[in-house]
Amino acid sequence: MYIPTPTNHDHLLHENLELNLKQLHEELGYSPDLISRHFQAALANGRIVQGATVYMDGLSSSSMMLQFLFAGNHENDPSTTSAELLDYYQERVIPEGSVHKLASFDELYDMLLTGNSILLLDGCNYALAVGTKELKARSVEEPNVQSVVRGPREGFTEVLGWNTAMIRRKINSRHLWFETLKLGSVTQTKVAIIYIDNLVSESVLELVRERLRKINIDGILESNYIEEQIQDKIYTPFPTIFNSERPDVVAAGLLEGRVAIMVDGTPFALLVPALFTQFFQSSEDYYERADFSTLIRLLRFFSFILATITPSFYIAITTFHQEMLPTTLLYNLAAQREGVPFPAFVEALIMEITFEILREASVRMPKTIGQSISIVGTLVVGQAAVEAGLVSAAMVIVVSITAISNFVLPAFNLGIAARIIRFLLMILAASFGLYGVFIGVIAIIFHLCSLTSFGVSYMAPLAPFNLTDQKDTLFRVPFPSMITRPKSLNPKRLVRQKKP
Amino acid sequence: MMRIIAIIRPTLVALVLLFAALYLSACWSRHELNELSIVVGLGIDKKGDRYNVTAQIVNPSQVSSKQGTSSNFSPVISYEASGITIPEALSRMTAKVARQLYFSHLRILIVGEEVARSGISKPLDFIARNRQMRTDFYLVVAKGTSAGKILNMYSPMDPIPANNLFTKLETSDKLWAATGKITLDKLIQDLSRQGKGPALTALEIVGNPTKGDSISSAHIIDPVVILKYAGMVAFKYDKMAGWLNENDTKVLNYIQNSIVQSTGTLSCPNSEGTVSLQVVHSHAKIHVNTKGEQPEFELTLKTEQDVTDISCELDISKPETLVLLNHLANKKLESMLENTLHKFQTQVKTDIFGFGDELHRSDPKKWHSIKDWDQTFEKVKINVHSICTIKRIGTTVQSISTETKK
Repeated sequence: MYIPTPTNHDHLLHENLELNLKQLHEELGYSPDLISRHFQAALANGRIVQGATVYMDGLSSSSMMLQFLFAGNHENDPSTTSAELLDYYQERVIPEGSVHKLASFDELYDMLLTGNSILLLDGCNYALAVGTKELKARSVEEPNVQSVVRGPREGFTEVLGWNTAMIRRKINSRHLWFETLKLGSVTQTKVAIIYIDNLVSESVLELVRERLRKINIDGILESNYIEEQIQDKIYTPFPTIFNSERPDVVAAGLLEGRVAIMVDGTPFALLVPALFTQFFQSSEDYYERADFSTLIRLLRFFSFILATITPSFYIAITTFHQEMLPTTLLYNLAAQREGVPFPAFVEALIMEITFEILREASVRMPKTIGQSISIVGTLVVGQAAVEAGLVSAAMVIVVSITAISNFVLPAFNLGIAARIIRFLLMILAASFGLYGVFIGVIAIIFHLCSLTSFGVSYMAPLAPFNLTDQKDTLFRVPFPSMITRPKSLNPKRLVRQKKP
Repeated sequence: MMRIIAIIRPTLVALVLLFAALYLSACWSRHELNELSIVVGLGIDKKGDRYNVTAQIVNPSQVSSKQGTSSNFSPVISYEASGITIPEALSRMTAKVARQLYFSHLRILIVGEEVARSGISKPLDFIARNRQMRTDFYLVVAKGTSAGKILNMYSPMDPIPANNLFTKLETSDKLWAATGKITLDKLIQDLSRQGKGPALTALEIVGNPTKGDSISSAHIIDPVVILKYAGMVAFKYDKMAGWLNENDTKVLNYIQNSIVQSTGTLSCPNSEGTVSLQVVHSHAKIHVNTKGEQPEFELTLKTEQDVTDISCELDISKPETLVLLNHLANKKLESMLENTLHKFQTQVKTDIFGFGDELHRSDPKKWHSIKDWDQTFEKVKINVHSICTIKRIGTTVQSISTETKK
């Protein structure tokens, strides 16, 4: 017979059903979504026992269990006490996979509020929690932030269990291990650490566990709540943790020996350690031919440089180093600047800020009025500003190139870094010319080299340089040549395939 | 926590102060594009003991390819100012020019004939010293007119006359041996060398200069005025020593190995008419013989030529004809070289070809034993050899005139 091991004596369940129910309703603030359903059951000795099922409306469907309780054939029921009856229910009647015995209210709340149904019987000081979770959640859809032309069309959802299942479906190995923990003192959010046991770098895994354990926040609503608490350096524009809403990206990361962290309630999984070059890689690089992928990847690096320094370069050259322009171009630029009232820096600032406003507006506004904003944006930023003589036409081109290059980056958060740096470099360019721009660029490179992600150098495998890892850094070599996993991540097993 | 603040606060204050200090220097070299007067042509003339400086400045809105601009204004404006030195004149010019003069895009520097005669090193010092001046513009000498007048001439095709002169010199230097482009760095190099005198291209006005200074002359198909390169100017040290005619310039370019392409004619053997030969490759070599008291020079010119035109009866299909043509071409080149060298040894009396340099390179001891190279140059013996090979005869064999007579 089950002997409850109480954790807190004040919160033990009572034997009296009505007392239990009363306390339950009281402590949940008479919440209308708490449903309790009374029923009667007959014992073998003919005694009638009062019982109740309790569940949260919308979180669970108790209909299955109730159906078995009421319609089931209980004639063989040998129980003579309500405790025996509860055992009988647990073992013989209830078909659900997960059934737990509960002795305290704390346990009961845990189970009840995560969608289980609770079965209480009068005269019994413990209860049954039955896993009748019914999730009202978004179904698996195509990811709309990280979309691809060729590749899997499924994206993570807000349900942790489904997400882990999606990864499990991609990696059918017993070495795929999950560790779950609950974070958030109020929200009690489930967080899973996912890794492949015989590949993962032990030091990284230990760091992840340690840092997650240190989190002591009231609530976790998105994976960024965790990202910001476990990243190596807080004050940097560069992301040191990779995030993805694609199961294939997470699976690929796990296969390279990385650790994934998934949070219940968000489709965005975290992947550590993250390297700088990883943010230039799209999952599609591996779904298209290697030569094409290499060119596209180089294009992304080029676009990042464009998005970061184009406006500052323009400002520096047109206000400090006019001798660097081809003579004919100088005439054209000078002609365009005739009658423009502001210095090139202010001009660039106006255009860049206008564009940032437009971009932010188009993200936040209702989708139905998106069209009108984009028309206004094109006309205001593009044509009207030039015709009104507020800015020169060349500046519009510069800002457009910058903006479009920014969208080439597959990782949105690296694009944000480029945006922040762009403004800093513009200030330097306006004050010191190209000298300032290059001081800025050198400072950024120093900063990048100083970063680490879970103990791994952020600029690896470029600095420190690692020759074998170059196969999948700037270039993407064909799969037959990808013999090893990235060495900089320090996986347990380096070799990924036998040499053909 | 308190300890961290105690560290962070002074660091932050120091950083802010340091950053503020950076701005004390201000943006001193910062100029917006619409605050600049882009100088494309600069002319230096002499008036008594004062320099007269003319600057040709671009009016960008009249030049750019932007549609719909009215063409009421001239694409360039010339300003003139005088001073004892060039920088003084330029400073005086700022009283006339709306914006700051900007020299980095200077295309051409024109030196008046009088300046060339009285010495170009004085005015050149400013040009070489100025931070804005690059060394990629060409230097020319105004022939028979002043530099200021040349900069006041309107040019067809290219709205910017200085630009026109720049591209004109660049193309003709490539396709025609009788012009030569000299940039500032090369001129300074030549000026500082003892064994080679500098030479600059000459520029003259052809036509009626009184009508050429108006934009309205652009409406006439046959240009009223043309600025034309006409030979070169030889310098002795920094002073003009004499003019080079077309042949002299060719010789200079042959000896300097600066020929890309050129054309010459021969009169036909045994009949009336001419044969045109295009030089496609040329290489000159100076060999110095220092065994005797005076150094002796062997000048060997190897050329490759193509037949481009035959206007007489000449059976070019026979190998003997080509041998004959080779012989004639050699003769012509040799006499051309000899004439020019003789002229420079006896009349102009300056070594612009670099024979002295060659001597310096091959026998420095001998070179240092010579006190005055220019005097020695007048007396040295120069033997000229030409080795010409005709490579191609074009896409027809017999000349059209031969064919028609048949």
